[in-house]
Amino acid sequence: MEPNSRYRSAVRSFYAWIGSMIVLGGAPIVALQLVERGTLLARVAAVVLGVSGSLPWLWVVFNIIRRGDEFVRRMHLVAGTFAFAGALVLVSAADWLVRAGFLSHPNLMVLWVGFLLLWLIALLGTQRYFERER
Amino acid sequence: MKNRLRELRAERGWSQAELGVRVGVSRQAIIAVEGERFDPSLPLAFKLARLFGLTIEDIFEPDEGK
Repeated sequence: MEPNSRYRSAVRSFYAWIGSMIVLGGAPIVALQLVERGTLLARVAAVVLGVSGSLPWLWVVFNIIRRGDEFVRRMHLVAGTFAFAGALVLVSAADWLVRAGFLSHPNLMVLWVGFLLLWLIALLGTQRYFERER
Repeated sequence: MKNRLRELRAERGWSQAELGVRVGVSRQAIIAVEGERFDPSLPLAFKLARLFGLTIEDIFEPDEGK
C-alpha cells in the first residue's frame, strides 16, 4: 500500500473507530430509555438497538485485524486470549457470589460492560508490553 | 530473538515509520521487533534482509538463553 493511501486508510479507520464507539456508548442509553416506556414496540426496539449497538464497533475491530499486519494480528490474538481468561474469571465470580448468597442475581449489564472493559484493558496492556524494550 | 534492526535503520537515517512503509508493516511492528518483543515472520524477515542487502542471519540472532 502506498504511504498516502495508507494514511487515508488510517484516518478513515480512526473516524470509523470514533463513530462506532459513540454508537457503542449511546445505544445502551437510548435502549434503556425505550425499555422504561414499557410498550411492546419500545421493548422490541430496545432489544434490537441494544444488541446492534455493538455491531459497528465489532465490525471496525474485525476490519482492523483483517487489514492489519502480522504484529496487529498477534497483538489482538494475545489481547483476546487475556480478555477471554478475564471474562471467565468474571463470570465464575458472579456465579459463585450468587451461589454463596452474596448477590441475589448477577447484573448482566455489569457482565457485558465488564467483558468490553477487559477487552480494552487487555488490548492496551498488550500494546504496552510489545512496545516496551526487553 | 536478538537483532540489529535499530542499528541498521539508524545507519540509513530512516525513521521506524519509514522502515515500516518500506517493508509493508506498521510503525508499531518495527518498534516491537526492535525492542525484541516480537519475532517477525519469515516473509517479513526476508523482506528486511533484502532491504538491507544482508542475509537473515546477519540481522537476526537466536537468543540462546531462551
